[in-house]
Amino acid sequence: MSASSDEPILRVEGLRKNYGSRAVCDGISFDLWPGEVLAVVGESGAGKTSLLKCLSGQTPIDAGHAFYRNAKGREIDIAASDETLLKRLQRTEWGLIHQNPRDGLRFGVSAGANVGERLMALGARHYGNIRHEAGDWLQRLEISGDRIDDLPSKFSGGMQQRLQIARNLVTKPRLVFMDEPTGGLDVSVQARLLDLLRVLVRDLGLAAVLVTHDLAVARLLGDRLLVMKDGKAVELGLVDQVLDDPQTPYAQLLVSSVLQI
Amino acid sequence: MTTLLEVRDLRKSFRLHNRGGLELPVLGGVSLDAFAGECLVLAGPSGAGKSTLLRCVYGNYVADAGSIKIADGAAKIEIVGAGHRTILDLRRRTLGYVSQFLRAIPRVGARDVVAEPLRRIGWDEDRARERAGTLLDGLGIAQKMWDLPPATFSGGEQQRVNLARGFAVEYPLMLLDEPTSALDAENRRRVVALIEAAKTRGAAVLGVFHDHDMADAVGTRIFNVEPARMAA
Repeated sequence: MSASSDEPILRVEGLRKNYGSRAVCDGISFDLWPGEVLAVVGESGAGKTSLLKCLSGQTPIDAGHAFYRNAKGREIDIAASDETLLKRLQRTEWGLIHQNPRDGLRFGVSAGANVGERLMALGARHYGNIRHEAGDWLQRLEISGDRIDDLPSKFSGGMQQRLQIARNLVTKPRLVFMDEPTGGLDVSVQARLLDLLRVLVRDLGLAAVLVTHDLAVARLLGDRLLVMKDGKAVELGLVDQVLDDPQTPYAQLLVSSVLQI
Repeated sequence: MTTLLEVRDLRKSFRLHNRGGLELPVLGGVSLDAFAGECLVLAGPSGAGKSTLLRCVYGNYVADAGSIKIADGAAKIEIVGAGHRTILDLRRRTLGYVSQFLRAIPRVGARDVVAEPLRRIGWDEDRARERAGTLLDGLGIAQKMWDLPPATFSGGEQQRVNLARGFAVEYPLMLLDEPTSALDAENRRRVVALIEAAKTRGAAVLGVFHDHDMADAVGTRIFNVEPARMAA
């Protein structure tokens, strides 16, 4: 463990997000440490995606704090940061993986350009190097090298999702936000994506916040589980502990509602 | 004798909120010690709480009260009420747990399933895969199966992959929850050898075994888990 892993990478304190007069996130608090994956579960409308959007700077936080410790070890309050800073973090130290690849890819440029673009935003200028590294990342995500010049629209849904992940990870982010990354994919395609994500998260030592409604995905990828209901955090613990010995009425209901196969 | 596990007055009940708050007491104040180099066999009728006790020690179940201390080098770490990082760290280095069933991961071959806990403590891929192969071989899993995902294996084969994974890291404290329920006599003998080797290197093994032969073969002491009584 490196010295930096002795401090949380993200500290969330009493985060609140209102939608009109209703709180969609209401007093959420947790710490996330380097190398940890926090899975956020709950039914539709529980506030999972709103929480993710607040933490990743896509929507303003109405009250409370979310402190991100940057690569230099300085804490930045996401709630009090301007858009320029948040956009820069999104391009550099963070990754953002959307459920719908259309929200995370540029469909007008090639697969290689989608990946290379993130490198160029960080100042890479040598075309050959950028293309080489983009090709490497496509391969890591099991996209064959001869597809590098194809437009994303020519890809299947599963490939588009893998391309979106390559685009995000090429710049070696420290913190990745994932919103239902396997939602909308066939089960067989999901398995491949989950396995790739699992290996990448481990090998790169990523910290991640993963929103999912699928408890099996949470168990496979998560270290800890946050259960949300009506905008509130009702339970937080080790993934296997919350799934095998849920303490609160709602978490017990959620776990017992899953069909066994 | 070096004490590796110290359980004091451990209490655990399950409250079923969606069944009118029904409370099921399981452990009503269990105390035990486990020492280096021994295998402590947990005995007691079905439902007495043997698995629950193991799961509380692993941090998988939340204890209601009492204390569970695990030796970690010279330190003793309290599990009851510990933060998640303490438990995850102990699970990586100190605390092994083998259940009855393998949790198979799609697409991942048997050898990588076994190697994974070694990768997590920093072994490089080649060395981890080599040790994984040795363990699978020792448990009679043919080499031609090593690269196949275990989801398609028989129950007994999956159980042996699970044992290889559980014994890959040489944890000081091993928790075994009926890890041999689907094995024939020959394979049970292989597991006996694995447990004996763990005892010899100074591990404490805490085990629940469904058959008496297995318990007799590896057990050093027996601890009777008394079922908790329902509150009157």
